[in-house]
Amino acid sequence: MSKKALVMLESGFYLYGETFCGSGECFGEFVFNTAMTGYEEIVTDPSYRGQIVTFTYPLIGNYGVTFNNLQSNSIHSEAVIIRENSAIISNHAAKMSFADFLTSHGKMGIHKLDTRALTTRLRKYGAIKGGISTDELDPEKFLQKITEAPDISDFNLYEEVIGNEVLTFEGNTANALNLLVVDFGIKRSILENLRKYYNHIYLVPFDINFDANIANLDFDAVFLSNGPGDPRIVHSFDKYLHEFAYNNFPIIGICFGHQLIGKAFGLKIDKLIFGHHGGNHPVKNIETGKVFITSQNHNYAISHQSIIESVDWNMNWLHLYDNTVSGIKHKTLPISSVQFHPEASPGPNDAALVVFDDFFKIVKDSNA
Amino acid sequence: MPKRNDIQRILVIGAGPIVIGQAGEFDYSGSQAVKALKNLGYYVVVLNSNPATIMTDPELSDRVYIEPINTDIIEQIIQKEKIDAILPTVGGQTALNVSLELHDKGLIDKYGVELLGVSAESIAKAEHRELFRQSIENIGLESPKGKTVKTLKDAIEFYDEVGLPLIIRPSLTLGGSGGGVANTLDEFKSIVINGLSLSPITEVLVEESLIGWKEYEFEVIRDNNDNAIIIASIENFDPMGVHTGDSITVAPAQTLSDDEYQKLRDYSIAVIREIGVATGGSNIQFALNPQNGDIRVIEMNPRVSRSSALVSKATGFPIAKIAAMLAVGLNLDEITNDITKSTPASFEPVLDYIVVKIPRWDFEKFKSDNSLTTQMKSVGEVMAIGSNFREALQKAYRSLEIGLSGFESEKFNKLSIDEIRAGLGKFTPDLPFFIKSAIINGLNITEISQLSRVDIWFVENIKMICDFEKQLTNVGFAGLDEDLLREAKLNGFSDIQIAKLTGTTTEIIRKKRIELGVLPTYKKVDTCAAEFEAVTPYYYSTYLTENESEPSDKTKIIVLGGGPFRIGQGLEFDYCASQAAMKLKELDYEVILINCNPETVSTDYDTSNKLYFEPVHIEDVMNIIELEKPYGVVLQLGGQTPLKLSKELMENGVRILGTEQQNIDLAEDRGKLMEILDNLHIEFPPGAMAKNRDEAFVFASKIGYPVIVRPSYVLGGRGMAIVYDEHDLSLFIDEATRVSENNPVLIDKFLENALEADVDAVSDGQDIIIAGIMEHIEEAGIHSGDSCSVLPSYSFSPYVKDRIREITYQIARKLQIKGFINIQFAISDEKIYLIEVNPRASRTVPFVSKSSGIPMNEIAVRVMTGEKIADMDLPKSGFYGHFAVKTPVFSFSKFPGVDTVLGPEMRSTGEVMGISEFFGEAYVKSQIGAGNNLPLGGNVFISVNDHDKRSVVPIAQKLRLLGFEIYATLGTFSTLHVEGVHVNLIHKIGAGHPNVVEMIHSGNIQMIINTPLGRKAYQDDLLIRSAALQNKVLCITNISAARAIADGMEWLQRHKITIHNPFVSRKGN
Repeated sequence: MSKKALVMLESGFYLYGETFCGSGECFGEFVFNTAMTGYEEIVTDPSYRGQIVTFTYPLIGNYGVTFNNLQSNSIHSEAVIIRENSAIISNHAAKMSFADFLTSHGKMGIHKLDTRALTTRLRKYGAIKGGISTDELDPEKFLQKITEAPDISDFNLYEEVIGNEVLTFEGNTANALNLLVVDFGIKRSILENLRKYYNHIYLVPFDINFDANIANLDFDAVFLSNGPGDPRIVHSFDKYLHEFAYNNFPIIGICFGHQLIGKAFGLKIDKLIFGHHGGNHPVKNIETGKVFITSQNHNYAISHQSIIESVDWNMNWLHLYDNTVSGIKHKTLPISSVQFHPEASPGPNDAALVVFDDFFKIVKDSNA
Repeated sequence: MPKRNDIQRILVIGAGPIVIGQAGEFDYSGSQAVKALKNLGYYVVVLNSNPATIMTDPELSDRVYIEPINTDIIEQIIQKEKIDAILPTVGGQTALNVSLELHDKGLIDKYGVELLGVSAESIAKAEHRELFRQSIENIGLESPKGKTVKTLKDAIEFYDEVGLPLIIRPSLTLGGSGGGVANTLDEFKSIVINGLSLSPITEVLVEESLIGWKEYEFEVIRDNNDNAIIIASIENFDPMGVHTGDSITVAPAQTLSDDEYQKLRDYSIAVIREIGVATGGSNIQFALNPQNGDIRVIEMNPRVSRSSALVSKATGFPIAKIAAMLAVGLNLDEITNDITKSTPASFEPVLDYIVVKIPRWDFEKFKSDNSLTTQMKSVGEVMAIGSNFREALQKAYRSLEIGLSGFESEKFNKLSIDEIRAGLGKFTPDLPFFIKSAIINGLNITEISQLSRVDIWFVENIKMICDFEKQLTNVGFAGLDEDLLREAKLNGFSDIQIAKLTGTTTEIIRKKRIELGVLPTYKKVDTCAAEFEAVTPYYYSTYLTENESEPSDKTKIIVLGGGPFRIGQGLEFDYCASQAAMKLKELDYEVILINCNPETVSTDYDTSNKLYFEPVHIEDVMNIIELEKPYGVVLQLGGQTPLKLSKELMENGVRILGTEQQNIDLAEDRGKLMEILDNLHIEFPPGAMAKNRDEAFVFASKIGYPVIVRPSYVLGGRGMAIVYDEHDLSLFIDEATRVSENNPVLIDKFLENALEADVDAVSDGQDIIIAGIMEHIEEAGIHSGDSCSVLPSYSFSPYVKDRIREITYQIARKLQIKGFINIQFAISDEKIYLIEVNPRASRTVPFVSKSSGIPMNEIAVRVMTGEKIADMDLPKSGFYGHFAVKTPVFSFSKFPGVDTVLGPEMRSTGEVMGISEFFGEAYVKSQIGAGNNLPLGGNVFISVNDHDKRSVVPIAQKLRLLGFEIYATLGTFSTLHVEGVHVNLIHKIGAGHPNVVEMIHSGNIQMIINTPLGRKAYQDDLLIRSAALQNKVLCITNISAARAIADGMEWLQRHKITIHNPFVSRKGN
């Protein structure tokens, strides 16, 4: 049975909607995503931990959930907000409805509200704390609760997105190079892509005791994964990065991993107003002049100004919407990373080949 | 890359006349391209034979040639204008084909011109089936199993291999013309034969049938740096088997998962690269097997298409404009997104709404059944935007102007289950209604989806509409609270529908709705789903929380567009509405445009200050008026659609600009008009209104046969006929129309052999500007829209012309016309009869404006906003020794077996203009432009009725002098023989071999003059005319046209066609 729900931002803006699954109360950081397909991938992407996702596309659930594209084993976004949940599923690969999928993970889904009005607020205020409730429908009282709720930065976002031991994955390649993947909440499709290039992949939770756990591993390069949260408050890994760099290991990274690399090597991290969340973001490769349409999902970015001032780093990818930094490359060391998601899932595959190939070339060259 | 400087002078080729499969969307793309290139500083030359196009307005470019689109003309233009490059991708298949021909003839190389955007090789790869199939294989994708054949024998070989059903697609025809699906061997043979004859290269593709697969389209753009983006995906409601132009389509795709979507996206980009479209837009069609996700690549258009116009309107991304900029060297990331003005064009638009397109058909005009096939038959389309499929679908049906206020199926609900099942099994425009009625009648959703082959997602959505209808009926008016009303509106229900379902009146619902504050919220079409602020005000309505359209405090004028194109209301009216909007903008009004036709310039966000993409329906229009509070509304430019709203708008206190409603009524009420004419001593053909069968016979004999009869409730010549005797009259009364008190029949004297004239003028009630008196080539009795018109008149005496002017003045003053007036006259023996007065812009306004140089739309809007003609500083213009001829263009080839004879009911879909200082040349140009093959020699078959026997003799004599052999069957043979014309006797059908139809098929007849012989010979006539249609033999069905054609051929034998001086903006460029 659907219930009336109050959807409210910390700014005081609110709308009423209805649940299409779940009930109760939840809080988190509101973000919007403009992708018109890929809800299965989005909600299972660990980077959405702690966030309440508003889909701008009004009809979600049309093709059900196929389970072919899960990015992890659970749903990480706190709740989803859509204009109209489709009760109808039409796709040969569909296994269950989106509502049932959310329900099976105990998540709330709200629909029947003006998602565009909400989106324009998020555009204006930026990613902002807020909440959803079917219990407290009085905005004044609920605002109080929202204010008291913890900020996303207070969450332990990593507890549930990474494991606590080293996992080994076999690659699908004849290449002999092995990769150490530092896990901040990796998407399954990144691993799938990496398996095309590397013989053994060691997936290591970033907060594990590195000295103890990686001593026996034979790896040729280090990869830093995507993940949720604010890179500016994750410091524990910096020293390992410095160490890897000092030992001339090639280092590569995507999204959160990219930001962390930047931060560890002295680049500044900015919080964007409302971030980039969608599958239509144009980035330009500065070296070739080519433009790629990419999948993106981040609220933080490496400061463009700090790149300009940096003596060690070049920006090799530029975001064309707002001239933010979309990829960096060290001038002398084999370190390189991108802000966008070449692994897509969801989103366009344009950049997959280029980025993973480039990464691999760096690794290969420095191991030659 | 910055724009190229190695080219300066660019020729943009337009699409020519409107035919089925190639409509106003190419004026939209053409004018966008012209504007874009001009803005970049190029010298832009335009070629188009269609005068009713914004693209040919001289203000847009440097030079405009309104000439036939062929290689001879283009060669002359290349020489005269020193053309460096040609843009072939914005003028539909016409421009693409002629460009390929230029290349094949070596003219591209000879003059060192460059084809921009797409090479001849790429055009060939995309257009020739076998090359295309090979290309698709090269990139590891699958296209449907198939084979290109040039003979029936080879086709049958393929049939033996693959089996039925099979699809047949002729190469290089417009809108897939001549194609079809064969379920039996006989069907297969007949479609193959027809297809081979229609294909200019005698080639058809036969292939496996994918009927029932899901159909998708992707719009791709590629730039010089090989960056490729998808502008939108489209999913068809109708599955494979129905031409996409005849399908209901939605954007974006609804039932693709992200990995499927990305797969199709990757394929689309791979295809555009393999075909080698260097820059610009392309459209790629896919079929997807709903059982297992198998994919086939169906086809690609290496150019801007109907779908790109739809997608441009659906997303706000102007494909043609961007394509033109890419063609001259710019890259996507160097171009700014017009809508946001802050982000680049190198991105993929995202939607936060859903778009539904529904085609509009005019089957009754072609007396054709309404089955839908792989050959396009629709004449127009509407697009609607909503928050969900149901809302958009209902808005689209409301926009179609087929008497529906939403997705209403009353007519179908009472059918038997068997009838419904049968209806579900056929592809027709009625399919959605059968689905709805099946749901109402309790059929299972899965079964409905299987029978109709329509995806269950659509069927379930239709079920939600049905459920909601039921709910409204159950609660009744008493149970209608704010929430339910809002929900109803969000499901797309109009006030009219809600009133019907809850048993009350529309007025009451509207009042209640406004009281409860259930008002539309207007949302922006912004390309980016609100991610960025949009500066371009382009809106649609839905019923959510927040309204984004904030009215300004400027003086606002609303211009209503004409809704979907249909026969009788085509591009000409959109031309007028667009021009009016642009002129009003220049006069500093805030111009608000309302229209729902995506194939138009009027719905370009550039044309007005504010665009509402909404149904031109009283409810939707009033909602906007109540929000915007305009100074006034302009109705007289969009054809009948807006005019029909005038009464209701007046009742709601809206100011209508221009002629007062009471005076419009005077013009349209026959009784009142006759009184006025009597008082002014203006003659008109006697007529009367019969309210029953007996009255009809009494009036007809009193007036005297022949009479012209028509039902009084329809306009535009629908259901009109000329009857010569009582027998014909009884046929008409009994079969064509059911005459009654409420459905009277108008009976007017038909003036035989009378000449017809048309006048277009603008008046302010005091002064009047007559832009031209057109003389029709065809005699009175053929709908003016289907007649050739000549400007200035070439045979009227000075007396006739003076009298026409005088009458026009009198009427304009008497009716206090403020704006447009169009009057039709018949002239018989120097006597002038007034036939019709139209107090609005007519179909011929663009033709008259272009050929006279008088900016009628500008003058009209200035009059409507209060200026006096006397105070206007108008350009000196008129006719300086040139003739202009307008020739109608038909789309008969889409309807095999249709009778091509012309009559009082309009059936043309478009028009072309020929211009020259010589009448003969102007006429010939218009014929060539219209695609009529004027033979220079060979055999002419003549078969005319008794009325025409005497008049055909001099024509035959002239044809003999021109070197033609004449063939005739007995009746006409005798007449000509007696008059001393050398003529060969030929067998009638069924009277021996070779007969006339056989001679047509064997290519031994080059032209036919066949005026209808009456009922007895009707079958023979029909066979002759359809054989002519099939073999593309020029077939003339009235004597005056035959005379003009003979004169034209004489001219053509002696002269080479040369281009006329181009049109140049009077404001200077």
